[in-house]
Amino acid sequence: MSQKVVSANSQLCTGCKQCELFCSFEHEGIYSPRLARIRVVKFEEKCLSVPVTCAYCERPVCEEVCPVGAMKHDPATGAAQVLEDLCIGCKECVNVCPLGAVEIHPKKGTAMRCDQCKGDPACVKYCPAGALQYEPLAHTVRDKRRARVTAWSLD
Amino acid sequence: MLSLREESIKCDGCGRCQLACSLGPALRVPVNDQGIPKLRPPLLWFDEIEGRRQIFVCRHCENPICVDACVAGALWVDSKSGMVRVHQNRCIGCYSCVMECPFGALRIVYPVEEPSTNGVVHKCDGCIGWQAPLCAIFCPTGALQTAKNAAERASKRRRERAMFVSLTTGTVSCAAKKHG
Amino acid sequence: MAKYVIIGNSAAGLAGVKAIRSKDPCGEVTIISDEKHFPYSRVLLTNYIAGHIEIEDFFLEDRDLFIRLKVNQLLGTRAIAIHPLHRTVEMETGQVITYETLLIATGGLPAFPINLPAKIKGITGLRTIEDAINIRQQAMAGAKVVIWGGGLVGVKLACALHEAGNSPEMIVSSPHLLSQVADDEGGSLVQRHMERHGIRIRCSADVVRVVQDSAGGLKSAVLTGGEQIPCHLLVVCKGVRPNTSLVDKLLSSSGGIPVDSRMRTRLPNIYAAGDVANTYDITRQESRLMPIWPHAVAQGRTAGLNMAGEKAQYRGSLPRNALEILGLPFISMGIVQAPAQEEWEVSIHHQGNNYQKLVYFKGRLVGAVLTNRVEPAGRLQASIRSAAGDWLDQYSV
Repeated sequence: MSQKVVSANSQLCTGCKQCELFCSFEHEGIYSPRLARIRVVKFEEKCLSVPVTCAYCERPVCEEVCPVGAMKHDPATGAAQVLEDLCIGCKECVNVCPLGAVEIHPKKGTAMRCDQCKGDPACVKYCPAGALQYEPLAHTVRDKRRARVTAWSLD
Repeated sequence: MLSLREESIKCDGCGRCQLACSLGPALRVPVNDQGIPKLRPPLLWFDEIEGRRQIFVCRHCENPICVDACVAGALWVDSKSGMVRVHQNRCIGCYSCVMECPFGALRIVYPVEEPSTNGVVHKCDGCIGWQAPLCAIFCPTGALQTAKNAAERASKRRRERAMFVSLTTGTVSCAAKKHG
Repeated sequence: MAKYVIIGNSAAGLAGVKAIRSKDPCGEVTIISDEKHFPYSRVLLTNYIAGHIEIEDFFLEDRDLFIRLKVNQLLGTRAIAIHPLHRTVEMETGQVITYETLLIATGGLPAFPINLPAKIKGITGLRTIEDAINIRQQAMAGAKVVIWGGGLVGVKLACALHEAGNSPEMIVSSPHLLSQVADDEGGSLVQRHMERHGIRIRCSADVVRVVQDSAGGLKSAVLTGGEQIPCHLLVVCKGVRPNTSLVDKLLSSSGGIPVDSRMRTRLPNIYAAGDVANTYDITRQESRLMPIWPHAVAQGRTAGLNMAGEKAQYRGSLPRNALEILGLPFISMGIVQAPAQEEWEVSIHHQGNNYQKLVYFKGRLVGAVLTNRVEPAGRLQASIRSAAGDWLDQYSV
């Protein structure tokens, strides 16, 4: 499992939404959170913000439901892409994704999903709090285990 | 940007969606001069494929291939509502759109009274005037679901996901502790 | 300000104009066509002959579309040469138009067999509004019409004339109808359906010469066996050939202009789209001509986006045809006739008018023929496309 993922640590996230802005700039050339492939979900009453993006599923449902085969991923690296020339904007992927990680581009009408910026994610590069990491899946699992243990020791 | 989600596995074939669709957005049974009720043909269909029931209904694509394929200029995208609509008087029943749609959401229907005349294409009209399509409102099993738009559904899912992430990593308790 | 020039104002040209305008609202766009009409749908010509629609229904958009999109129109004048070095297009009027990017969407012309003497009154193709008006007028006047060719246009024209009350006769060189787009069984099913309606079809026959009467009009057509069929009008429906006369000296383009996945030709800043372009067939995995409407629209849009500076890719063509033959729907796509080899499999369901044939190559779906129950066509097309997989790498000029 050398596959790398963008993993988020909600404990470090300040909710500044820089990741959304830089994601939009990287892919679309403008700063518009609406065009971002990563979104920060805020629970204001709980003082909590969680960045959510594609989880790079092993068997992606978005690819299964796509009637035209526009959703593709590279099995070696896990990096996903949307073939915009093929996408017909039927919104099946948006409706089926359990994470809400696929959205429709408001101008082009095609699906948007995280493509890990072809191996150098802008959201990770520009996250001022270091809440986003681009690392192999195994590291994320290890970090989660550690976080869990730390949470217990606090109790 | 209408968003209709179809989960055929939940469908028990009660046919309420088709009935609601036939009644039309006015939800009334039209009656002709002799007092005989006359429903319009439904704009969504069922079929058994490999032993599984499936619902065929339009997804109102953002870049619809049926519109590209239409040679008569009968299919068009209503830019206000984002829906794919038909000028039925322009349709010549050539089957080009039927051939394109991967959802099987367009069918050529021949008028019952005059079967010899040309059929015209029938497809979901998105129930103009209603917040949600009537088929989804009337569906008792959740095989047809609707959200105001796809973005809303995605954002709801993201909230659920974020909540789940924070719960499983114990962040909520942690954060709550930190902030007293 | 960028200068775009588009030659041809049918499906591909119109889609190209719209795509350019969606990206570049101010660049100067000029559309050139030797036809004086506003963009119209050639597919509807047979419906006009059948009397289902009138001439006004041909036109695809409202007439002020070009004014709204601020497009310079040069309709009714022919472009005679392209000079890629100077980036100019020469018109027959002597006018010279400079371009920065050029789209060639000149479409096709009816293919005429060489053994026919050109320019005889009474021999025509079916491609333009003028052809359709001429055929309809003669058919209404009770002329005896012979259709030479059993392709899509021939079949549609025969049905249209039948519906208009004329009794046409078809001469087909292949053993059954629709030999290019249907398999033997599907083709003969369509043929039997048409014959039941009273259309006379002669298969495995060809016109070898025509006989003129004393006034110079057409008297009869002579078939291979020497048989003479009296006719006033001979409509040649032997397919279309790409209209490449503008670039014949610049590109070796006898079988259409070769283009890459962004619809660029080998010449700099010149794009081609529509019936004139030679694109990649995802089922046969080779480049060839597939003159059908949805391809022209998609190719025109891709070319337009690329001309306006986008990076759009055309993801290959899937040859497909949908027809309504006197109430019998017929759809075919991809490879319809499997060679008798081990890797090919065929599944056939045939019951009355319901015919479904699926062709598999190495386990993946590559073609289908459907009649009567055609609802699964869209899904079949989607699975053919997704089974074709990634092929874009092998796709260049």
